Amino acid sequence: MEKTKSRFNRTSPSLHLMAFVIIFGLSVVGYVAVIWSGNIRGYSPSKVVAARDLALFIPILAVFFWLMRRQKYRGEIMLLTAAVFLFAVGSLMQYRLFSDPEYGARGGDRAKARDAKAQTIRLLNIRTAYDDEKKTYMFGGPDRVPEVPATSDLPVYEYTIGDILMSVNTYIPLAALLAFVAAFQIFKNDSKLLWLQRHALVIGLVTLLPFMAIVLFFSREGKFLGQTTPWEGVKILFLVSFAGLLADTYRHLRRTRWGLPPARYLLPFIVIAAMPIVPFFALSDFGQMLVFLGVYLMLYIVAVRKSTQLVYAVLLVSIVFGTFYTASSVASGVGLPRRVYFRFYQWTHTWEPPPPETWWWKPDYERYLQAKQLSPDPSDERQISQRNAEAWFDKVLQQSQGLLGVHEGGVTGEGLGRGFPETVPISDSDFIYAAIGEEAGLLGGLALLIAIGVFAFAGIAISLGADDMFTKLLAAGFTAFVCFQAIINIGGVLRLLPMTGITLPFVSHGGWSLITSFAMLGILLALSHRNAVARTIAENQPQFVPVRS
Amino acid sequence: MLIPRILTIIFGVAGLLTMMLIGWAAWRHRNPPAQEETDSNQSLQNFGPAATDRWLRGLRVLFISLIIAVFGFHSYWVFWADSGEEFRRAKLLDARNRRLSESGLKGWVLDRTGKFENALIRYRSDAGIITREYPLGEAALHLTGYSDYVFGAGGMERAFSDWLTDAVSTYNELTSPIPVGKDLKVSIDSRLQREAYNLIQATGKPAAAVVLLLPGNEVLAMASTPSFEPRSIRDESAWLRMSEQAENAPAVSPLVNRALGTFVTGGAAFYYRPGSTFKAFVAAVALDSQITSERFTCRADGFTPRGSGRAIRDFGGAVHGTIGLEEAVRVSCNQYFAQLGLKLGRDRLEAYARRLGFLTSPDGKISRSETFWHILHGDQKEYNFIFAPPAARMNLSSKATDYDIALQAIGQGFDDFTVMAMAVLAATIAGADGSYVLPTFETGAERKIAGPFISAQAAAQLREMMRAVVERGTASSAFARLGGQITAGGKTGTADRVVPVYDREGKRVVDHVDENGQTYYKTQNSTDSWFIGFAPADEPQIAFAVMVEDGGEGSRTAAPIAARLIQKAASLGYVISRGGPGARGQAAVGIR
Repeated sequence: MEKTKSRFNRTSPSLHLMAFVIIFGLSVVGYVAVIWSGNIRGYSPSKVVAARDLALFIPILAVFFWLMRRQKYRGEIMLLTAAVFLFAVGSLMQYRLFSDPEYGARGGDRAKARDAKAQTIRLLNIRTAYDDEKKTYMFGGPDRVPEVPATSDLPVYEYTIGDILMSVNTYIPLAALLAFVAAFQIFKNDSKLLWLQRHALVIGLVTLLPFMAIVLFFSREGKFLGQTTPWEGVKILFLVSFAGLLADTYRHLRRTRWGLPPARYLLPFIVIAAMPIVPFFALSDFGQMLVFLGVYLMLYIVAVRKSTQLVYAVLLVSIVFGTFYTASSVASGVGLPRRVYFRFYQWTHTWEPPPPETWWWKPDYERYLQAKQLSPDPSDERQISQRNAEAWFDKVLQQSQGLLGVHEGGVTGEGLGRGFPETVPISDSDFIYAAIGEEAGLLGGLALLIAIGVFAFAGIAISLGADDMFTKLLAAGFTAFVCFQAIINIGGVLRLLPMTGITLPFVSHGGWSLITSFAMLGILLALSHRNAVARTIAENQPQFVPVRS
Repeated sequence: MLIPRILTIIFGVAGLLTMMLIGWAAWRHRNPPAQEETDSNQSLQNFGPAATDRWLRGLRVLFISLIIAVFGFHSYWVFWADSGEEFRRAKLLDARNRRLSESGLKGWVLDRTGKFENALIRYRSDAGIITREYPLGEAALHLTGYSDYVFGAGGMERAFSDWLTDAVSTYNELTSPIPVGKDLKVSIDSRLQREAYNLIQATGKPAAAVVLLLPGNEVLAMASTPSFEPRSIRDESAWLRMSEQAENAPAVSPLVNRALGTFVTGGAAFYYRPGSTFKAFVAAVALDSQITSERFTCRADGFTPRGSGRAIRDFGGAVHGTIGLEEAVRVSCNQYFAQLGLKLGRDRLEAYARRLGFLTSPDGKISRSETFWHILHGDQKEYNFIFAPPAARMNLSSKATDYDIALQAIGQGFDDFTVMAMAVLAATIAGADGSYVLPTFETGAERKIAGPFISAQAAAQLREMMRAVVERGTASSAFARLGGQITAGGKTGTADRVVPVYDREGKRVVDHVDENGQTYYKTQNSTDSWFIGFAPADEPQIAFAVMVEDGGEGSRTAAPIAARLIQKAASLGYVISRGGPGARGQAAVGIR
């Protein structure tokens, strides 16, 4: 019988090289669009920064060639291409946002930037579209239209070569690529994988303790010193630990009675599964908690593959969600953090302010009044509801502005640099999808979603191709991590899910998040490579050929 | 702005195609190449790692469905979110509105002279800072409206917003981030508008004045007091107070355009009684029906219609004796017109009322007259939301008694009218052919005839009678100032309304509470002063209506305002007496 399968069943590297070139070309088009619209909207995006961003394709290509030539990579490359696309779109959007002086600025500078932009558009319009008669009437002469106000003195994030050399934005992608290389090197190695699996529990505990210490003693409002989240990396270690333990015990967990595994195995397992939840709970980072719980649950279901347990899991998830959902519509409730209430209420009632005396809302409402130095007359209900609505709309500004932006964007988008994503707070990280939806429209959003879909398909394909349970779970776990986090982020922006405040992998602005995502990508590629090598060896086993005499 | 937009579409489409290519590859390679069955042991198959593959594929299905759900939500916000009331309200608070309104350049609104210094809405530059300016300020607030990124827009700013934001040229649309809007020339004369406002404002009472230019019934001026400076709505608390007052106490609200009976923010407000000015309508019906030779008696004890215990008397208990139509118009005899109204009959009055678009058997709620205006520019719906007046109405249904009909014949009782409707009535009488022409803010548009009202002959006869009012009748003293230079015709009116009393905060004053807990509010009589008419008398070029709330007799308050309006219009060249000096400029000098 003839063998139909090819020896290297993967997409060809030249296809992906072509894709990289196209993505590079797309980026150039995007940067030109942003610079063009910036110039007619009253600010000049830095060409140096654009060049820096485009130059980041050089190390990306270097890594690609390193993989292909030096490492003789045989695995699937699609994940890398999808990630590079996401990264390129993300850099472009961050460039667009940070070039806008209105976006980075605070307080007075912000208003100044906004006014300068508005005046520029008007003056340019007057210059080009008003006739001489009107110009004369307004300014005393057709040539006396004032100059466009200078905006280059307004502070932007980075502008000159000096800024770039000092900027973390230059080094983080490089660090991320290094993390990618390091992760690839570690995880392609069988003996290291074996070591990791054997020491899974230790890895978990060793990760947890210092992490807990940092969380308890050094963190402020969910951030480490200087607005960073260095614990992003622990996601990898926790997942390795969880996958290792699950690979060891899944056979026991399969032996169920009434759909429940024996307590002897289940209880320690639950303890281990809860390990990452505790510190993230302490950080009130519910987004990460949700991602961890979701990924752990998925891995568990996949490994144990018991229909009853799937039913239990679905029930559990619906009960938790249902509880929050109903709780969010009743004014009172106990035992849940205020922020959870707020997020759920915001999800279900974005544009309906809760009564000001609601327990989880009152402190925020009062803080708003204090900040604005307002003191509504307590007997005047109308005034109170007015202030309450103001405070609420101020609080849900991000979600509300994001959705209005997505709506404005329509199918093809307002055009890069033409929309107003600067009105959405933190739209460079949590709400970057809203910025993309506004400026690149449904088309841009769809491209992004397909990239995430590619990641899911190719990642699961790696898991399917793995021979042993540990690498199967690792591959599925990291794929799920990236995709689930992306879906939770975008779902939060689009009100499919409550807003959680986690980043969009590869796209969002964020140091540790980007580094961690690239490290996960490295691991996935290493596992794919490992599968392909193992398969080649298996296929090339010498076979006995009967000799006919 | 075309180029970044095209670039973005290239970016989006090419990115999508690339990802679709990769996605297609991912679909082709969704499963690793099947391995040879190295192990045929069934139990190992069940337990081994390969057994999880089915569940892994399930996981993949889960992810794809989630991504499709995300895409579905994205589509929802793009395509269908707009149908939600909540979303539309949230849109009003969108921070983008401010940026758009502060960086856009809407069209200018010019008056009929087309000169920038007479513009109604224009831009001004103060040392490079460009602001939208309303040069007439409060004098034209109810016309121009206002525009704000939080409170939206009213008046023309809203009615013509489509036109004013429509790109001035394709080139501009392609190159500018926010295109420059088209200018609009309206029929208003801003000098006359300012004069009209100043005149009614001098009375210190809520008042309205409308001047129409014949034959197209173009609105030359439409003023209403009280008013406010359009830019003052930037003061949020003042605006909120004002909107609250408009809701609770419209009778004293400056947001009400008293000429149209609408809110400048959009929506219907209230009606007035036209009083004796409405006799012009009844007289027109009589003349057109050729019932002109009737003589009725006006007694001291009044006229009591059949089946009614109440009598209709004349103002100040005047007794005019037995008189004919001409005399009755001149002295404005209530008893005569009450009897004439009954003589003409319900059906005939109804037929003629319908010709002018009045409702004749109204239900309780106010319906708006959506076909009132001749509209060329602007979105019909927005335009009517702002400018469509409440439909003028009478009650000529079978439920109306003789007393009701007699009262309505003298402009009292169920007569619900707007100042604009009365101006249109005056214009219809003043028109050469007696046909009903739709009023308009358009300039130079072809006159749009809604239908015939009375014959040209009847109109001419009525004009003569109304001329007598000005020359020898109730308005003669007020028009003495014209010194015979400009002839005019008109009809005075003094209408009684019962209006609620408001305290300083705009709340209704409670009179008493009865034993059932029913609250009774204080009311008072308001005697509105009216004058409608046209000038010059023989070949009218303008028609007008003036109303001053609680201004007393029409001859005392409204008629002098009308006389001054005619003077101003003449000085601007809108009224040229055939008998007087021929050229426009000389006419203007002549009356000074």
